[in-house]
Amino acid sequence: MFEARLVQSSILKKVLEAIKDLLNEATFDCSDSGIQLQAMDNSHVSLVSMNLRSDGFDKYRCDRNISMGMNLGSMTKILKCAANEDVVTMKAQDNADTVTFVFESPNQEKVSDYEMKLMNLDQEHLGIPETNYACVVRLPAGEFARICRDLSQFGESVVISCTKEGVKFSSTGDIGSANIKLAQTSNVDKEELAVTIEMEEPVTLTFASRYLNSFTKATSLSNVVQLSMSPDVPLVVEYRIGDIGHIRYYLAPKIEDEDNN
Amino acid sequence: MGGMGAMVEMDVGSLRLYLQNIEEYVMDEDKIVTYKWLSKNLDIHVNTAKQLLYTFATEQKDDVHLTYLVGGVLCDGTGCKIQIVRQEDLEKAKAEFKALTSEHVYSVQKARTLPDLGALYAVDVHMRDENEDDKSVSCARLSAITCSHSVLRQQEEIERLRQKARAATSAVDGKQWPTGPSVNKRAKALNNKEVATGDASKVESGSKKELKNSVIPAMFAAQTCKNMKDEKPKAAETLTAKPKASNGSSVFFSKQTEKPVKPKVSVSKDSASGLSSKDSEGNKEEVKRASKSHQEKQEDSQSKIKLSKNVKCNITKQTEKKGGKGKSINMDTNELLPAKKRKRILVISDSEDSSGDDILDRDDAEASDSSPLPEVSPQLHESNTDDVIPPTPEAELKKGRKRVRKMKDKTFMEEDGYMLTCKEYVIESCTDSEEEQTNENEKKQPEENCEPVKSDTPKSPKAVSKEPPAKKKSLRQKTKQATLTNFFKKIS
Amino acid sequence: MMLQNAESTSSAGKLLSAPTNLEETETVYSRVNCSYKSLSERFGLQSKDFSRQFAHIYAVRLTKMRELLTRRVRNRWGPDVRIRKLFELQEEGSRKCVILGTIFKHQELKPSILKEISEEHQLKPQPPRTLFFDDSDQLILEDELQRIQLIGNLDVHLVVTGVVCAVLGHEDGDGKFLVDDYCWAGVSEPVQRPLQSTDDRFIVLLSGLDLANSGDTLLPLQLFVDWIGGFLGDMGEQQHQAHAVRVLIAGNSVKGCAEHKTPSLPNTYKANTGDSVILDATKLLDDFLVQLASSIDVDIMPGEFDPSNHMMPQQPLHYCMFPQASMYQTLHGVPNPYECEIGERRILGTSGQPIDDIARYCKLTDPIDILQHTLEWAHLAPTCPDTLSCYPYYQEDPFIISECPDIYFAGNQPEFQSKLYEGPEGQRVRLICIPAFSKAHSCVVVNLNNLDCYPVCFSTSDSMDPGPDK
Repeated sequence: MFEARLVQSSILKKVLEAIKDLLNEATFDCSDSGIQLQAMDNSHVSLVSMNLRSDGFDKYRCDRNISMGMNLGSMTKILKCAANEDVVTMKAQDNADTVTFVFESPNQEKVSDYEMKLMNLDQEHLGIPETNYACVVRLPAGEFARICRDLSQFGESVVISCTKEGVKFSSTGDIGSANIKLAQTSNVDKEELAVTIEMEEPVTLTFASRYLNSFTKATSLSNVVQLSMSPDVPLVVEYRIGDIGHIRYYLAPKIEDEDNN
Repeated sequence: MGGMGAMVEMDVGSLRLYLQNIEEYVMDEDKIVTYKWLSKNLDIHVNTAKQLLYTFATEQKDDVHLTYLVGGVLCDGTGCKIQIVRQEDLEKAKAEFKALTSEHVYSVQKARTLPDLGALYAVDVHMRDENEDDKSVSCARLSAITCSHSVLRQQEEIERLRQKARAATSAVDGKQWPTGPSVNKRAKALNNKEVATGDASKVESGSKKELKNSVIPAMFAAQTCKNMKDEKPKAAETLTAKPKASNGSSVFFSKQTEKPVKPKVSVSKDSASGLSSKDSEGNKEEVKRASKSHQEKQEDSQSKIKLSKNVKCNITKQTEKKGGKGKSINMDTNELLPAKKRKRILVISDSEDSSGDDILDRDDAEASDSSPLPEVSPQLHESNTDDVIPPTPEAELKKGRKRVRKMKDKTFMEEDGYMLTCKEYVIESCTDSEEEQTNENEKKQPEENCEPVKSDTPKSPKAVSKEPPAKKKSLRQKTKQATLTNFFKKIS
Repeated sequence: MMLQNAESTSSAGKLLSAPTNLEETETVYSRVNCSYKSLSERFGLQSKDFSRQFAHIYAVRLTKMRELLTRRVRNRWGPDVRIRKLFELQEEGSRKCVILGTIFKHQELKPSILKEISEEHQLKPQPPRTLFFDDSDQLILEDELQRIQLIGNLDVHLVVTGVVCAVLGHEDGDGKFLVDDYCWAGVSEPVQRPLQSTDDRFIVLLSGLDLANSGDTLLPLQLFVDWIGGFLGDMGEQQHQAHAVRVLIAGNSVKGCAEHKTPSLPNTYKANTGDSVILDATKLLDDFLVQLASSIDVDIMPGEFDPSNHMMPQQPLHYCMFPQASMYQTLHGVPNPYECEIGERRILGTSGQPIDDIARYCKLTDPIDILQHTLEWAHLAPTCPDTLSCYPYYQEDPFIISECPDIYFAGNQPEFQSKLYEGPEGQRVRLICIPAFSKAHSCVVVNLNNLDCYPVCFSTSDSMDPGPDK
């Protein structure tokens, strides 16, 4: 028996919004510690890793580990039926082939439940080693979304280079080139508006802007986004989900094509 | 009636002078003289003008014709009425009233009968047109009522009202002002420029921030990029923004004037640079104001009002156009304005879709069409028969590769067997000879055809390079998208 | 006031004399000043979100008016009367109770885009209609959850969709509600606002200048402007005019009717000039407004055909449209509907669209009657958003009349009408239908002190001959 009750259905909605761009279906792994999700997109260029801790839920019960393969399109449809302030409960029997979503309006006057069929998905878990990243940049999530959007107009790839002075995003394309420099915020009045950089060595990496844009769909989850980079390692873009978990995107950098040299 | 004893009387000399004036107007110049016109022309109180007309009419009884104004409470209890009547209808009209509150001469003219009392209105209109400068201001002086609180607004207040009104209306319209996109483009262009140069002094968002800017400029310098978000509103706001304080405004102006000098990035239609500067002048009226104020070197406030009148005219047009009536008002403004100003208006409209029914406007559009800068030419029919050669966006995106757009003849067989030859623009690469072949065939496609990411993502994962992606190199070289499986191992 | 003054003093004709006594004739009166407070903030739109549905307006309307109604119900049918929600009706059986809800009038003839499309395919010619009521109309009462058909003692032709009301009765066997009696939200209790001044003060209301089709309106309008400005008339008249404190122009100043009604040469000519007509009219309006504004406060409301937004509430006409007049502090662009307080009098009104719209959907035809009904319904525009377009409000319904006005007007009506509404709790409301100036050549003068009201007509003997076209 699995049961997880979340007071704000909006969180679940936002999470789904944040991943459904990249993934068509995904496996929700529920265990005693919480709900995990890890999946790569079809092209195997990016990876989404989401974690919702059990203590973040209003009520959480998971008797036996259970993996639920869900079609995210269908799940989105169901969550659209919930109002933002509704209380949502996910329920599944052990070894069941369906999952049930129950939405209760705040005044308990309206209760709706939706049952969704589960899918059998090939598990393709990747082991992600703990890494000490050379650069860790924190910036306002809205700013990051804006930068990605703006630069994607110029070219398909974005070069992110991080130095002591700041972080620079640039893109070159048909119409010309674009550069955006963010300096570290000197005095931090509001943490969510600050740009902070922790750096061991300068890093310059190139990424496909399309994926970055998909990642920024998570902007509504958090005010701050954290970018972690090291040479020749995938970029990590992390958003916190309230105080119940986080969502991390991994993106493989573009590398030089040896054939072309 | 009236004047007995030691009351203030008009002295006989001036009375005669006035009467002679009236005689001249009525008899010699054959004018319709209304009391209001007279009051205005002789600069006398309206009531005196009415009396003068009466006096004149009694003296010239047989030669002139009068209209009277009567007003009062109607007999039939349907309220009050104020009426202009001809001399001969006076008694009949007076019989309608239960009580008269007003009766005086309205106008005097030589013609026996006025064909149409509407002509009396024309007299007033002419009077207003003749005194274009001080319209009603001096008129009010001659009336019997003064209004102490009817005062002219300060320039700033007018400006504020305009903005407020616009904000309110735009809020309701629920759509962007038609000129919005071009403004945005400009804002973006500015953004890029500013980001590139890191010129913090230019970054300001709206007047409020402007203030802040001067206080803690250092902070802004650090946040140059952050202000991008605010750039759009700023650009929109500065369209109508007027000086708040005199010293602040001069700074503002000088900044604004710099902008049009720079080559325009935003408005693609402008081909000639001369045109573009005009355009920006039209679009940003404060720029124009600024340039004017440069010329006139800040004359005294009186002349400023006049100046602002001009400006205001333009604002009206501009904003009305923004209200979604672009086409129509555009046309009308042309009628209204002296020929000299036409260009300016035209150029305003240039930033929108050129309107079909304005000839001048169309000329302008044609001019830009025939300009050397080629636009995407229609190619719909070709795509039927041609093999669509997959675009090679990567090549296109390479920096430093010189590419030339050339006009090429393209011949192909149409479905029904005719040979067709089309002239079309192709993008050619000059430096990279191995790419030439593909590029030559590559048409100037609409942007969406060159969606690049898909084509290169599924490439084989074998190309794993451990070399650090040195940026300068990689810009000239092909990069390849690595996959995550190169970095992380599968757990099975 | 003027009517009495006119009878007692006979200053008329003093100017039919030689200019001898300048001291008397050249008197300059200064215009009376009067406190003013705009109460129209709720009609200004802060955001523009058109993604929402209109259901929220009805929901919020019902919630807000339920409070008003509950009080009324207790007053009218005693404190013990049972007020039930619709879903509780079943328990009540045939016992009498009161239900509250929003009226929906089911009308076969109501234009519906779906119907139009479906009928288009069957090529069934549809006669154009201007009135949409029919004897087959049915009344349905809706609350938050349910609806029920009303039959009995409530005349279907005297109400329109969107009115919130309370009905007393019981459910009959067929699941319909048999109405014995009904009750509107009514006019709220009057707020005592002691008048600060005993001087006569007037406001002047006019509407429908329709300058796009001005023709013979111009001279009367010029007379009006001169009259307000203290140019016209004898000294007594001018002295009286100095007590006018405000001119309120209630809509349709630029244009007074839709395009197809415009009397003009055939379309070939019209097609090209339609817009320049508007522009000329706006310029003309500016010319008049600047004259008015130089001597009196002027409020200008947009109307149905003015260059403002079409949806209610219409936002103030843009100041940029009046480059000359906006130089004066005395020009005030105000929204439609408009509410303000002038000299302790609360004035509320619209440019007439709600009244016209109601007239199309029920058998109430007399504009002043409709005006009174909207007052009793405590709602400026009940047919918003059903048949009168309005902004999709979410958490408010600004059209609810929550405070009793002293003067309640509607612009652009066919003729001048006025009535003093006296409510059960001592409310005195001056109801005014302002005639369209282009037709009646009349404005309306209202005395703020005693709420007396009369029209003033401006005419030339030319226009009098064929009779003023009313």
